[in-house]
Amino acid sequence: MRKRKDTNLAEGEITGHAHRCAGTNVIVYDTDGDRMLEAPNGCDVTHEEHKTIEIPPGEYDAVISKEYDPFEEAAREVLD
Amino acid sequence: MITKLTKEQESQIPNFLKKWINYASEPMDEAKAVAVMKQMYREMDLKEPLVIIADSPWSACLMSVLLQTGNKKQLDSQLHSQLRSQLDSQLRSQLDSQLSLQLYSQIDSQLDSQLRSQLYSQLHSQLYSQLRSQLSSQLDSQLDSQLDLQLSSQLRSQLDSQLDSQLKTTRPYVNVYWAGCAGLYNFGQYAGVKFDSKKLNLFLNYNRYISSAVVFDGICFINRKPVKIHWKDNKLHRDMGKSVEYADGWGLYSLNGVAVPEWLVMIKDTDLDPAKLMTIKNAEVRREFVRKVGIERIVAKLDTCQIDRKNGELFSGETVPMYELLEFDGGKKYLKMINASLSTPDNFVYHIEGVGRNCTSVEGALLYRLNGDSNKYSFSKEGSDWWIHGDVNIVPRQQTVLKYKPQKIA
Repeated sequence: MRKRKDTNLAEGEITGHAHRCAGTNVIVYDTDGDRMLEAPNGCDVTHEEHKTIEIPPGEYDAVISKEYDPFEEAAREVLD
Repeated sequence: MITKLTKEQESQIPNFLKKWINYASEPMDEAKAVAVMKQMYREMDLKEPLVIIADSPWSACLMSVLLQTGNKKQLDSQLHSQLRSQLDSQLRSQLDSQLSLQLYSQIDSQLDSQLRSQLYSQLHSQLYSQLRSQLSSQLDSQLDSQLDLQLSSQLRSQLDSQLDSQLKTTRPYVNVYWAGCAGLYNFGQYAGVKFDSKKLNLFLNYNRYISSAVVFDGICFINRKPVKIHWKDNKLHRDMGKSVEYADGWGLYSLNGVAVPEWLVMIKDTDLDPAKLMTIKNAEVRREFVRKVGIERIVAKLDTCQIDRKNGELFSGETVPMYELLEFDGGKKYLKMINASLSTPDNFVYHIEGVGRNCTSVEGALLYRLNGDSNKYSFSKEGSDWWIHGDVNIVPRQQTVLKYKPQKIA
């Protein structure tokens, strides 16, 4: 696990938009292909195109949604 | 310490926002641009560069690449060695550590924390959102793809391996990011914050006159501002034309702030084939395709069969189908979802994502979004709360049994 300099749970591929966490003592870690959020006091998750949501105190995994690619006939992460 | 703004000062915030957004497309004052670029080099302890002005970031890239490739043998050896050393990171560090951070610390020490936070949100965040997210990232992405796809393939055969690697690093440093900070510092100055005036002036002038630069030791390429930028609701947007237009014809295509391929903008909505939806891999580009073509036309044209539906409340209690599991295109299954954040009571915005062929219900499709081909997560009434924020699912660590419905969707 590696502590990230930012508090982004994910960034868009071409839009530059990001799901960012804002709160006291919030840390986001890079884990094995995913990211982990440590929010001892809870946090707000913001994004340019989504409403802000409040997350209660705790530790969380940020799981990027998968979608089925009918051409590859396999799951892949949703790209934005 | 400044603890409160006067009413007059408060009323000026929208004007500062407007001013810095307008700077993004004002005609370039070439003499001032050249002077500030030279000053920036001097501040980095480098000798004054030869400043070459192009009509667009793309032309600036082309010029620098052609200088590195076209006349390699004839190129003056000193100039050639200078072109080997690109100073992108040095310029970035100068703007960040030497200027912006020091200016911010002056804001920090002279503005009450509550006021600082208010101004940060009203000025920096709004400018950042509109200019940086919309304009800067799209310029970067467009230039990257054109440099990789077009220039590389066209010129690779003419390049030796060393020049090929140089081509890969020939990116302009797109400067719009710092305009958000510049707007904040500029207002801070107006509100009475005492800055190191030399640093402030350099930072403000650089952000006002230079929009991007390809910087080398001894020579740099800058470009004129766009001749027109089309905004809609603070997002880059133009249907049937470029959203950002430069004098040489180069530009960006965007719909509702999303960088999209030229065809999606330039083909009339009624001439777009709904079946093309399935060839678009990027979820936001796909959403703009759905928005332009219209979900009804897509559903009708693709002979869709609805397998399952889950209603939910949106807009003060109105019940609408939030999720629909659809089957079309030869048994392929797709989850149609309302974007709860972008939709308005008059205009619903939809996402369509492929889900596994075995999905038979909306719950199964939501589980597929979490798991893909794995079986890590499952749903139960007694499961843990979880959240959906766009394409990110936020799940309590080490919990794999989740409630059927997310706690919140945005």
